[in-house]
Amino acid sequence: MSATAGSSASSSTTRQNHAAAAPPTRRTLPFGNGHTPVPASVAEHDDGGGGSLSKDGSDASDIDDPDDINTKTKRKYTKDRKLGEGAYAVVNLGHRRATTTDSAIPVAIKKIKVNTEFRDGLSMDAIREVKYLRELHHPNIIALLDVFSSKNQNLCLVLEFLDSDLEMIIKDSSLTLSMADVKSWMLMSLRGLWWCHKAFVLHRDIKPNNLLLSSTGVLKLADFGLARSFADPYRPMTSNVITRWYRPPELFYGAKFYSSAVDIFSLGLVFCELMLRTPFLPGNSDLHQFELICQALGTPTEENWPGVSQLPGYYVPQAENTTTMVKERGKDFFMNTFIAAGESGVDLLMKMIRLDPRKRCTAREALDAPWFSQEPYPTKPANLPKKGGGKGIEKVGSDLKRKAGELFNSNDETSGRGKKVARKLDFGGGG
Amino acid sequence: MPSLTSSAATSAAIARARENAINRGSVDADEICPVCKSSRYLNPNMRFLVNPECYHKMCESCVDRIFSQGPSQCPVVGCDKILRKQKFRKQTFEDIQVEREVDVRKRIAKTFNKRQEDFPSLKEFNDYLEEVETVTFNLINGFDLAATEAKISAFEQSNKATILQNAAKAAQEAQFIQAQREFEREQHRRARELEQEAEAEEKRDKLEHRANLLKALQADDAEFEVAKVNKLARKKSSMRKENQERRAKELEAARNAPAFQFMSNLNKPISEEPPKPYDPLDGFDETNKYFVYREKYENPWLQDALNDRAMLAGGYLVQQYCERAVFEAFSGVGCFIEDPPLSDNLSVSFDTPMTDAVAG
Repeated sequence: MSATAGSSASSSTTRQNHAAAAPPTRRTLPFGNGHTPVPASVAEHDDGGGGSLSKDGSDASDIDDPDDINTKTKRKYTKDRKLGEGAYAVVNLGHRRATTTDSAIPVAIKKIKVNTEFRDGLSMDAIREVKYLRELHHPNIIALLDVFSSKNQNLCLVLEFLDSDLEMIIKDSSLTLSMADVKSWMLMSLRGLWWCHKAFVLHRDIKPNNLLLSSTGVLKLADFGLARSFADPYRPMTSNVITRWYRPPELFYGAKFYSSAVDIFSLGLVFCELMLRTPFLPGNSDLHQFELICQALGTPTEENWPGVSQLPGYYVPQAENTTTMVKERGKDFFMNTFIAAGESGVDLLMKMIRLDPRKRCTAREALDAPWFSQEPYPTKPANLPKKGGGKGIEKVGSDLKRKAGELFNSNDETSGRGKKVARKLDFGGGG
Repeated sequence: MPSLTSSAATSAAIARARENAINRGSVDADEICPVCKSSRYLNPNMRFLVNPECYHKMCESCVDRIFSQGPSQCPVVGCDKILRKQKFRKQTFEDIQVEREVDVRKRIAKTFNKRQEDFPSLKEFNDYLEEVETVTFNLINGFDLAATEAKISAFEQSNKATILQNAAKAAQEAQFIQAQREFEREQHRRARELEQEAEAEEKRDKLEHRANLLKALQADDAEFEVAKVNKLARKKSSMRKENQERRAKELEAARNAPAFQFMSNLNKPISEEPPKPYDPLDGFDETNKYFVYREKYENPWLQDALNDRAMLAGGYLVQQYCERAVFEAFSGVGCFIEDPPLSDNLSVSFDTPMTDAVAG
């Protein structure tokens, strides 16, 4: 998937020759492979100032002209104000203009800066985001409404506007979260994740601030900047994905062949966080993170995880402070820590954060867990605790502009891509 | 020396005055604490408190002094009630008898809170009320205290559920009245605002009209311009009037309509919607129209992957690959080029999921 947007765009498409017989150069952005039809509305457009106006009332024969489609798409939306800006994207709050059939709706317009990091095209995150969001349509997945290019050939993603995220809810100490609320959020995120997996897409960056909440309380998976489709057999995937606190053990071991189980593990840790109101395993380095996993869940061994020693980075942490091997934690341990979830809740949690990815449940199996059909029943989305006010908007702005895989907004760090995704864990000689 | 004698004389005089005041009766009894005999003259901030156990009046400092260490006997001579500081409160009614009666009635009303709709006929309701009144009277006047108390607790025991229910109802009603009052206040405020706004608008328009008129008079074609300005002003004023009327009407409609609608729902128990049977997929259909997945797919190419320990340990699922292959093979089935592309109606609503998103 090479990302080469035609930055040497022919600026010859001016007002004059467009009206004349000379056909406009038809170009498409290069993110279409076998699986993805090139979005019809993704096309470049040279906006020569008022030039777009003359094209508006175009005749029917010109209907498929990408420039025209782009202009039309673009004119559907207006920018209201800026929510945030980062090295990677600018996020504006906007709205879709009201038409005769539809009323105006607020949207977030994420303008991706084309030439900041990649001389030759778009950043990978943007491509992934467009590629997968164009295909995934589910109430619990953020909707990508349209894509168009601005006059500087920046790519603009028009996303459904969502005003808060789960992290804000977790951190807001003025809210009390009942088990019914937690259940409702888990249910919605599992449904979103199930849909991703059903469409053979790995999200690979599940964490509370990528689980956005709409004003009606509906939870939606967002930020597909690290997503990819399931790999073919023998085709390695990178293990440097998923924000550290939510990364499953197999990725720390550098597994190149993994599956949807990685997302389930992350979501399991989000489940813990919803109950504890603080991250369950907040490691301050990859090594520390792995020690935390071993202490909390158990040390991976051949018994509890067949084949684990074959993984490229297999290692048993034996630092001075970590005493001996921890047996894989049983139900008692989780019952003590997460007593509020009840027995069936703990059962579900344990299935989601098993060490061995093959023993973890799938999203579909998790949805069938008895926990969801027991009292207290999941809260209706509209009744879930909400964080109101304009503060939320700003926060989401900063979330959107933050790059995938990053824990915090690190403005001080150099903006190279290598810095933002998880680094490979080097256990010194492990491989 | 003379100063000493004079001070002795004064204190004697104060003592005498006190005696007099106490003996004189109720008017001045308000001024002097019956326990410590301190007078309002000496302590202008004196407050009197009573305890609903015995209704003996005493000043705040006495209460602090006697009951701070815990429950203690009433200091009034002949009263052997044990009082607690917590229960002391300000007297609401001047007559202590009334105060006491109100307390008793409050207590009774809490227990005997049946309503007319709880009875089959008015007669039974009246009988019930009479009974309640008898109990109240007995309590107030101290007749048959033991028997009456027994009666009350028996009633309480046998009607626990209805008492609770009626209490909840009453609370709801109180809440409603509160809401209604707030709503009315809000309506008044809005009406006032509207009036002020209209007035300001009129004033502004007048000024503007005058300025325009002056400008028009300066113009070359004065007569024509003036006519134009006048016409504009007329139009504006009629528009303003219309606007005002419309808004007033809206306000009126709001005042009459919705706030009182929930009154009719008041006595209905809060209906918990019966929880729908749990649907894990929230209405999504996961059956595939043209194929079913098999448990296992035989393929020599996949054998290595199935046996590779590293691949197994990483959690890679060959089955997922097989399912994907099958899924993609059938994705095109049922899609026709003539049909409008799905993406056209996608952006209409966020919550309308495509039936089979990946097929597109």
